[in-house]
Amino acid sequence: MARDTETKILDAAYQSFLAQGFKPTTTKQVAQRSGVNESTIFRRYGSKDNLFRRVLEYHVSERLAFSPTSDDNGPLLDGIAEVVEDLLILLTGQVPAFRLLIKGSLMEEDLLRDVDRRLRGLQHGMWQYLTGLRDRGRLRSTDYGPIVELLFGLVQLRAFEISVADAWEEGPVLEAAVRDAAREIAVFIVDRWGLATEGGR
Amino acid sequence: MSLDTRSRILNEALILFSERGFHESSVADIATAADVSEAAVFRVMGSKRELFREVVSAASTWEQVDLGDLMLRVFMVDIRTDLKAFIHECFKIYFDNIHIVRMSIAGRMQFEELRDGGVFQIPPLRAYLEYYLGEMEARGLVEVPNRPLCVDVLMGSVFSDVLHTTVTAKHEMFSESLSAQLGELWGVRIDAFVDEFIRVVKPASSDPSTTPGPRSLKVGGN
Repeated sequence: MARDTETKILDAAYQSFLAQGFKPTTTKQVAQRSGVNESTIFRRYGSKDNLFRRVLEYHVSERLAFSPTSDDNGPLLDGIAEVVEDLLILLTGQVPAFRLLIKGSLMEEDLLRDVDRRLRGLQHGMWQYLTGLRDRGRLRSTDYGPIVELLFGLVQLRAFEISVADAWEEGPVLEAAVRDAAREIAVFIVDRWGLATEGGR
Repeated sequence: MSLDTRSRILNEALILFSERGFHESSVADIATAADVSEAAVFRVMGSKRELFREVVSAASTWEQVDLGDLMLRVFMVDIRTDLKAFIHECFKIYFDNIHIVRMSIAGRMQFEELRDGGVFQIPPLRAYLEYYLGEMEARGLVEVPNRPLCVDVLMGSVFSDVLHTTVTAKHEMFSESLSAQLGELWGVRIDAFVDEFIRVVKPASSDPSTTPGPRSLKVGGN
């Protein structure tokens, strides 16, 4: 199946599941929404359950990848703000899907464990980034493990708050909110752990 | 309809809405779970949507939690001990109300009824933590740069754990083993919070006679 067709199906299915939930969504609706023939969808996925599973893999777990590099020598604050912003964008994107994930009875153990593993991967990415900055003498020398656990909690909270506010507001609340939240967190990080280096802050 | 029957119906509805979601739960399912007829369910509320609203409303008192227990365990001498007690209380409250918590997280974006109120941060708990840190600062024991953000760090991490334990790990109860697990995790995190996020001005003294009095003398120096 062409990549393009698969994407169309998975995007349409995702939107339908999010809007209505699992039960009311039909493959007919997905076919209409995606412009793909219903029999094509059946041939590819076999069942609604299987489609649902694939949708979550594609739209949730596979999107959760994050490995920022710490070797750019620009201003510390801007660098950190950008990384936090990327992380926030990723996480706010996943919040709607949590609505689906949270329906325990529909979820298969391994899918849930996969999401969990990927979330921890994001946290690890953040840890690697801050540790990298430390090793380059730009952040104070300390163990960033538990610090990152706490910061990640903050970032997840912001992601939820922003995502929910955005769902109810009209207009591009999301971009501005993400940028502001990222900057506030970056300022805090630089303030607590930043070191003045030749490049300056 | 007896009060018993009505609350049984509301309770089973809460559990089903929480486990499966609004659309995925039928009135027939609720009736079966509550061991009543469908007609009986409709007698409680005229429609599934109204029943949902009623369930949310009845369960929403969870946000007015009583912090009496917590306040007995917070002495405002050693911040680490106090924070451990606070965090433990947070988890207890979340797990005591696990169904409405799950429903709120899942339904917040779709359902107006769930829009306000806390779940990302339970309002009385947040308010208490803000007050606590403020009071500790006023007594000259700690310095808290950006207090709202520090509160968000702790509340956010608690929420994050709740998400993880109930969604991905599917815990339903605050069992001994879960409590122990989280306790260990948070011991390390609280140390990091105290050492790295805030600043302790006066380290905890083991001499009980130095319990700080009202904020009269703010002793300088560390």
